[in-house]
Amino acid sequence: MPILLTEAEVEINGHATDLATGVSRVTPPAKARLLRRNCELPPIPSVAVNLLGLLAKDDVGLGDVSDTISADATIAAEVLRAANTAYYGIRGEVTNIRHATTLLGIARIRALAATIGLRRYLGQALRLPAVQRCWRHNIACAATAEQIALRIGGNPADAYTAGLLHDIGRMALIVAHPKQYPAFLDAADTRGVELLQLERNLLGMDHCEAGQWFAQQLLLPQVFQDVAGHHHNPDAVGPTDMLTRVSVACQLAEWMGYWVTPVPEPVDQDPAQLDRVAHALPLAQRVTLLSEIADLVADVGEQVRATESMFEG
Amino acid sequence: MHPPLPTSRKRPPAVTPRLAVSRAARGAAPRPGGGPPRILLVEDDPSLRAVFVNFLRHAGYEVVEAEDGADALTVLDREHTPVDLVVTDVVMPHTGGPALVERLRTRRPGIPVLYLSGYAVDTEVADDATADTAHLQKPLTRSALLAEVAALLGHAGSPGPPA
Repeated sequence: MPILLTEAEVEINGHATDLATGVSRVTPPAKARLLRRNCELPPIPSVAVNLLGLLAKDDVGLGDVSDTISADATIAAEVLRAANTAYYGIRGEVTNIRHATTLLGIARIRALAATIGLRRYLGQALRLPAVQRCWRHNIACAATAEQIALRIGGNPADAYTAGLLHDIGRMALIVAHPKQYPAFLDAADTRGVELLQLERNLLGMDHCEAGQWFAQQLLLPQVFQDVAGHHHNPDAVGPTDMLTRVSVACQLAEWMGYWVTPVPEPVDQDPAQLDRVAHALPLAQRVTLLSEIADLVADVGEQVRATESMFEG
Repeated sequence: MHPPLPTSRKRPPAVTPRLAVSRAARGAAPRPGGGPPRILLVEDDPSLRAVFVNFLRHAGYEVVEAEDGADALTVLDREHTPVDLVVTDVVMPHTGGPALVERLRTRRPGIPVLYLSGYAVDTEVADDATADTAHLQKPLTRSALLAEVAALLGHAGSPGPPA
């Protein structure tokens, strides 16, 4: 039930109402639709949300993570299936979640569960080309954020998770407007600021506002709320390293051709655009990133293919 | 970089499609009497109608909406300001696009029409081979829609500033 309410709230006449004070949050129409649709439909599995919540805690143990995953038999089975694919390079069969968590590490297993949970949230909508593009962009951004972290520092798996969640607002808009938003993305052959404006005109909010709001409703850690809400304007909130890198990763994923709108072929990988994107990073990190861009692009491509194959068949 | 326009124009375009796209994207040129051009958009799918209205209004056009041909005629009877262009779906319940246009042109001969169709070549549309008629196949892109609209309104080659 309503995952979008805090523990202190109940839904009364479509509004989130504080049990103690009786005060209702005023919900604008666009957000009310998001709230309603996301309460009607199967939510992001609670195990995925709980795992993401663990990111904010310093003293998370293997037991916390494996117990959380094991609470959902379907998610646990998918995690095990994915952990046993060639991509993770584990020798021998992984037969239980505790073993998988030990072998892959907490951050990696959390990223994997988040990927499975978010994919399940999209459900049947993933048959639509526009939703497939959104999903691939998410995976590419996640992989790019991970590859950036591997080259310039930071926890790669946590960077992956942040990249995966950067467009959670699009996911919420797809769920709330399952026909209109994909149709819009199919036709809107534009990008950047103009695409955001067209989203606001059509739906009353853009995917960044939707993402920040949705991340708040899910009680995700602040770092994910910032990434979901400000990956197109990181300066608006005083960017953290994670926000800056995910913002760069999102643009790099587009530069590689992973667009949410249809891409004209061939993809134009303009070197000047690459320089502009990388400019958000400190000089030393920028030099490192640009000197390894060819390898990074290849690694991201391989990771996107591996992630997609994980869910095939 | 733009994809080829899936159009079956009945007259030569005034400019190349690429130029039309770039000018359309800047905004609608004002109508002769002042103010943005008014477009009647007729589409029975509410999701698609909202998407197309969004694109046209964002480009600076004034848009009047209708859900089918019969509704369009009612809307036009209610409106006092004439429309400059009709953008209509072909197959709709009650009154389809070609029947709507036939009745409209008894009132406004020569009003330009852009048909939107899910079919490559629609017989009824093909029969309506007048000079001010064009056809776009769905699914369509925003740039293709704006290019055709601009061309039909005669703005594609106009030197005037955008509205």
